[in-house]
Amino acid sequence: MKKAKNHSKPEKASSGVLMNKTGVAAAPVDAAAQAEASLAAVVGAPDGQNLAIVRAEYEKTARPLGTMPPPMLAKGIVQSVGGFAKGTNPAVLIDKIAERLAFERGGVRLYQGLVAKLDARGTFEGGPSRDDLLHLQQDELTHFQLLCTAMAMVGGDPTAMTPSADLAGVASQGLIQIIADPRTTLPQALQAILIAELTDNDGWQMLIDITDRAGPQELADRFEAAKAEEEQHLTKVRDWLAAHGAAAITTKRPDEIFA
Amino acid sequence: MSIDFLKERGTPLDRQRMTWREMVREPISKLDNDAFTRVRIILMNGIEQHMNRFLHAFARVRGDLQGPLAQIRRIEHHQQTAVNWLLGADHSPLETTIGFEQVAIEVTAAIAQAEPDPYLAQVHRFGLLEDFDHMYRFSALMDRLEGKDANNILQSYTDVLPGRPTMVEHRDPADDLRTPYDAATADPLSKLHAITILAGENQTRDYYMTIGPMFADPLARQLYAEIASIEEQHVTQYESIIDPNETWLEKWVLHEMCEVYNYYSCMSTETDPRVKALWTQFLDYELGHLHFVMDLYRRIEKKDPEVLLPKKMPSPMPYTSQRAFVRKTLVDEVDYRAVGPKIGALPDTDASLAYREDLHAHGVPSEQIAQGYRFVAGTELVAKTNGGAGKGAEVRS
Repeated sequence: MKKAKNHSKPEKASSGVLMNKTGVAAAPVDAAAQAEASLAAVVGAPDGQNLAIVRAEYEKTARPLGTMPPPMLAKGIVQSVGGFAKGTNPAVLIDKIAERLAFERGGVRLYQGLVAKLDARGTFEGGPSRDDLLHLQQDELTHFQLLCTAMAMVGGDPTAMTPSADLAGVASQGLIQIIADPRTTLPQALQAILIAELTDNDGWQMLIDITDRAGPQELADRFEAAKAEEEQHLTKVRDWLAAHGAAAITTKRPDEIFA
Repeated sequence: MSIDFLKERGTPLDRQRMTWREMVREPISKLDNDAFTRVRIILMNGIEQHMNRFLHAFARVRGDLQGPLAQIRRIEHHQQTAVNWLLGADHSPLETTIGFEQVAIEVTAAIAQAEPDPYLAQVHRFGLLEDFDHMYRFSALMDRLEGKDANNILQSYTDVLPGRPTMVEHRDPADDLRTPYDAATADPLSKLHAITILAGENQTRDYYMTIGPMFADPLARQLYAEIASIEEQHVTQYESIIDPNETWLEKWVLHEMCEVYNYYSCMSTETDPRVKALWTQFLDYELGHLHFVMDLYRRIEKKDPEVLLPKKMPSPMPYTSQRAFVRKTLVDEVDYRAVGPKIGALPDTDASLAYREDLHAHGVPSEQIAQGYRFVAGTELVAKTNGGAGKGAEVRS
């Protein structure tokens, strides 16, 4: 009897070429045995509530991630020096400035990673040039500088980590991992920077909205200018990825797409 | 307030049980808790992990004691869970690394000053300056890879400066072996110090070996590989200062006393009442373990275990910034080298030089990541912003 073929495209031990082994189609015989065993297992009725119940229990007693750093100036002075509108809470604006500050500072490092990747691998048709990436990196640094100045203006500490700044760091971890990985291609890394730029665009808009309501108008105007630059970043990244997608879908060298 | 550990028998073993909910408590706040609360948590996790490792090794050579060893080990394991799970998930692996190095600096510096034996104090100071340099290298990595400021973890208690350059810390294995204390004559406090630091270094080695491959960045992966290798050397150094002729049971008594002393230190200095309650609970657990093992020692070795222990509870570890001591040690001893058991202003051995040359033949990660790095509050991009003036530092002052 002919032995059933398990892996759809077995690797030759001597070839050194590895192939994707995820998914059941890669191992139909084993996958069928696995499915059969799972079906035979005795389990209770499905109840997806336990995860939610335990989460809710912890949520009820959870304390916040952290508090806002103490103001560097007395409250009344923060209100007047910072140019805050009456009846507004400076801490909200300070937290949002700190969030963008952390994100832009991390953004400089992300673009440095992209430049290093481009230097090593080159670019693609319709992709960024080295100068393009350096320009965006410089913008991120300039925005970081602006936010440091803004933080000082409103009486906050630009070196402190506020709750939103902490979360910006948590959310960015995956982006760093993608861009810093020497195995990722430039388009794959640009996909990560797209996530950053999309978030950044909305983040700046939220900052502008809050500043419009509570903060000094001078700051709102400067934030608008930064937002305009971020919009350009997003357009550029989208264009680069679109160019890559269009070329990749019709390429005669599919092996180069992921290499 | 001190405690009489010979009279206090702690929590009975059969009442040392926790539910999963009690083990998995609400974590500390990365932003609001004092850095020394995190330092205590990391150290105590290391102490518990070390205990687990020690008790397993013991069980492999003493079949007749596997029952009591398993009993105590299971409790210690759950204690470790409760302690380690206090770290919040918003600590990135690199932020936790900064916490580990703060432990290595501040705890080793405190121990080096309290250590009654001058030779052992020298060994502790030698290790201190090496871990001090690791802090500098990891801070550079955090800044340059993630755009984050290590000081948000350090809370300004600890300087971020070059120490003995990591690149020259790599030594031939023979140059990591020190002279052990003599168990018969050594001050019991020296033994507690040795176990404490050994535990801290061993967990640091294990932690870096676990998280190193989780980084995507190749230089980060290399840096963790390089510094994990030094932590392995430190484990070698610190286990070599412990008298190898102590019996296993004698060591077990000392390990339990080490835990009693360290939980007592944590309880005495903790500023977060919730965490302090845990230290107090576990101090009572450890008193139970100590007396259980002392009884075993009496029964099996037919000797008085009290002679192994300090006459009274030593002063608690201070858990405060040791900045002045670290700076003085840095000035006086940064150029010291180890030649076998000797430490001082000595030239490296040929064996260490050759070993180092081989390791560094393709580059030195600790040098590459920190080239030209100067710590500035708010990250070095702040210095770039202000032409080197360091706006963050100005704001702080």
